[in-house]
Amino acid sequence: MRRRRRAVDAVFEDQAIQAGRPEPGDVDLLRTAIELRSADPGAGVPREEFVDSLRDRLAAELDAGSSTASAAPVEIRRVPRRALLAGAGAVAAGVAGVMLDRTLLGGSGNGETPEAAGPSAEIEPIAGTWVPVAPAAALADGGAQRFSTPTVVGFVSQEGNELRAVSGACTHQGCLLKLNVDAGRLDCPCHRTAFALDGRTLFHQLAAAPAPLPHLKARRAGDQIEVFVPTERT
Amino acid sequence: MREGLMAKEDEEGGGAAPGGDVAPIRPALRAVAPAGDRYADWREVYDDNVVRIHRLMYAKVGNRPDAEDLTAEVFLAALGPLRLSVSRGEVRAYLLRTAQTVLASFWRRRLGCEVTTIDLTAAPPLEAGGPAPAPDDDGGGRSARRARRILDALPDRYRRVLELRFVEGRSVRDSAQAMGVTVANAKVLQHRALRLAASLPEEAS
Repeated sequence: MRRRRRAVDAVFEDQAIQAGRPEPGDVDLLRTAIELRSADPGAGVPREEFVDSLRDRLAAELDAGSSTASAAPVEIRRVPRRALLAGAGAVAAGVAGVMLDRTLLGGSGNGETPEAAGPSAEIEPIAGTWVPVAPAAALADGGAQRFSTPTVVGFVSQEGNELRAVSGACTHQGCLLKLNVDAGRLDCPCHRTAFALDGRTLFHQLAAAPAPLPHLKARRAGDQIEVFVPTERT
Repeated sequence: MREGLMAKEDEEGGGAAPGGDVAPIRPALRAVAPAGDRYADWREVYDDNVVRIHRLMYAKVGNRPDAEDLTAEVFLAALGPLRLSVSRGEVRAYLLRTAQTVLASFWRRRLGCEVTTIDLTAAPPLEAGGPAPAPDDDGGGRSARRARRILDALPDRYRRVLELRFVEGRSVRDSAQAMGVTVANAKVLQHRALRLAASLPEEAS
């Protein structure tokens, strides 16, 4: 019994799974936990340090074996993370929850990139609807709450009496942002990029600053906070 | 071992793979691909595939330390004997087959049973020279949507605790605070939620 818990807990805690012999029912639990990890498309993106260190390790093994006559140091080609992640970002952005695509951002649908949309573009859906995303009581002053609807993942926050809602997808490659409660900001798990709760780009290590996060309209309706989101695409 | 690509397929094509459902090796693999359709060296193979393989492994083991170990194992096993005269698509297919074997061996070692497998029949087409396919055997987006469907089928509090833990990556302490419950309650809640999620009928998942 104990071992099974450990295997499931490892997935909960993002730790290595310990060796053991689980009960048959425990395998289903573990499988489901692993499956649910995929709910965050950005979660499986490798750490930059890991990608670099494995390349170094491969170079030591492969280049040493093929060119013993050469004493020249092994050249380690550093590939920009952007290139490495070109596929990953596309997948993250393709998830149903991250449909803040260009047609919704600019309304023009002419292939205009979010970067070109200017600072803090507002998402004004052609076809949208107000949906409740959080109880008003859940949002303290200065606090933030993540929400997801079938078309949008985002964060709603409150400063003073003002409500703000921003997209939860990084404007660089569409990875889903994480709420950093302690720092009061939104961190991108794919690159070292962070946004303020009002959507401003706080810092990044990319060649060009990613655009601020698009805003969504937010309002209080009774005891609920509502956000105006695009209706589901057909 | 310079013929490793073929040799490895012959050795591992049916034996170690789960269920023996490995896609048959097509004789066309042996053809030499045009230069533009090939990888120049192992670094190019690595740079073009490391994110995809890591994401695939992460989706199969659900934690980063094991995903990193398995990714390293795939490249260490595959790149040494890899022959680069075949097309990019075939190299990717070879990496996937290696990943399948590495994952099967990992589960047998750790838990004695295969909790997850890589189904090569669900793999996206590997067009030679085309853009890198989705970094999952069935496409990361599809996995995420499936996970989303499971979450959406759960009662609010169960869904919320699993979202906090898995989607937002929050600690159990953080999640407890966000939900206004004790840490002990959050732990119970997350396990009950997972149990319910695991028992959902197949169509929900």
